[in-house]
Amino acid sequence: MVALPVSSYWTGSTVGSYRMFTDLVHYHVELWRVGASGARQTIELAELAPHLGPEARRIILPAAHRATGETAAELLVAGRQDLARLGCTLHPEARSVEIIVQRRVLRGELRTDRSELRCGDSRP
Amino acid sequence: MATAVRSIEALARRLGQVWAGNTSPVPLALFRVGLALLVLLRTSDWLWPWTSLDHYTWQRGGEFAHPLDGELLPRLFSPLVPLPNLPRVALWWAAQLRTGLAVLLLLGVRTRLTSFVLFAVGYGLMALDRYRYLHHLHLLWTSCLWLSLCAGPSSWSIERAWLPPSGPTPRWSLQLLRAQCLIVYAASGLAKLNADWLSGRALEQLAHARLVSGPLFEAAVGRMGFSALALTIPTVELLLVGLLAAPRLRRVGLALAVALHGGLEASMTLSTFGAQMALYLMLFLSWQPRTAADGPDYEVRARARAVYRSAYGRANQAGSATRASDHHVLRRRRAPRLFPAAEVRRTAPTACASERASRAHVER
Repeated sequence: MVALPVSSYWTGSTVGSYRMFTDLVHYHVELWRVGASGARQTIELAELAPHLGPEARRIILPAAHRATGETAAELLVAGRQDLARLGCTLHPEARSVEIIVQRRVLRGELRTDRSELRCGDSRP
Repeated sequence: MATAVRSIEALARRLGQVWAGNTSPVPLALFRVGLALLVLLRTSDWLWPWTSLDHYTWQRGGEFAHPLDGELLPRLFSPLVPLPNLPRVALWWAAQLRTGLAVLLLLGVRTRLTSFVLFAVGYGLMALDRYRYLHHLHLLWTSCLWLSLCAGPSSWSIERAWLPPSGPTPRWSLQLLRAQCLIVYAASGLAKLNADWLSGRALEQLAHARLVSGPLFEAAVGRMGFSALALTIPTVELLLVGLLAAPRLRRVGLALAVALHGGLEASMTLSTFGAQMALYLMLFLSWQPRTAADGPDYEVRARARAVYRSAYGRANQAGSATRASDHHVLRRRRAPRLFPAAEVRRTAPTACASERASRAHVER
């Protein structure tokens, strides 16, 4: 009963923390596929829409521009590898898929989480 | 050293008293029925034409039970915790099972088992996709888990038609659920103790993003300013922990909590969170054992009441105490003068002590 809120409090996580509307976080997502030649091409998030559930659409699609949500941003950062994996599945010709999640918190601080998934590789 | 040990022992005794004894089965039954109704409302769109819950904007039909819903394969699989990727048909059946379990919980069939399985299925369905996570859903499903731990008979249960009445309801069940409510307020209040929130900047930005709005909010901002209002919210939340935990201040706490949630509901879109917290706040009302079947606490209370009424009745007959407000006078001064010393020794201290003990017991 206490463990989850306490651990969320100390780790700064919002999942399981019962904190709502405590901070304003804007987030933005970019998805890139890297071809065999090394050329980078963007994957539009709208392209993923038919493959997303209604709840995921609500959080992911607005991130093509600038979306708002403290917990939503954290969920996106934590699940970015899964999103990259979907990019790989939709573009089997890609060598890898790179995902960039940017979060801007109230203080103006910009946090960028970048990761690359080699397509066909089970390891992220 | 001896003082410290005595203090710790006294604290342990006091904590033990908080959890010990019996209580009325009504609050747990109300909580169970309310929780089941909330699960049914939150996981469906049954009230769609009449009310506007925020999940109606992205959901039609049963939650997570949408049959493909325009989704093409491959679908994004991003679980909140490591879980297997189940086929759609399994998800559909799990969603139907969740609805069935909520109906069983509403009827009070095997309450503990039903609420535990409902927690497992409900939380599991949510956790299968991290983007389904919402704080009020987390609270809804974990409430089912805590209810499954609560011992006690199933009042207002269809099972009573064929099962004999079970034993009294232990107070610790009620206290466990109350503790969850206090944790929500404590966690929410503590999360706001940072410079951004306390300066009012976060609240101002939230208002700018139209996440917080409404005439009540605007009036509060106009009167207090963002900074003072931002300071007030965590102060109230943390105050509520103390007020609701202290039996004598509980009524003040309840009034403050109702005001807080009224303000939040008028200013934000919180889905069923307000209703969930109303259910939790209901548990803080003064619940007393109501019948002899509720256990020995009822007997203690009934005996104390009978003895006290008897002593009070005699005082009334003697014409010295005529109003209910004269209780304390009767107890402290008049009673010893009115009755023979032997009878006073026999009845009045017992009556007063029993009444005090039973009141303190009930207030806890």
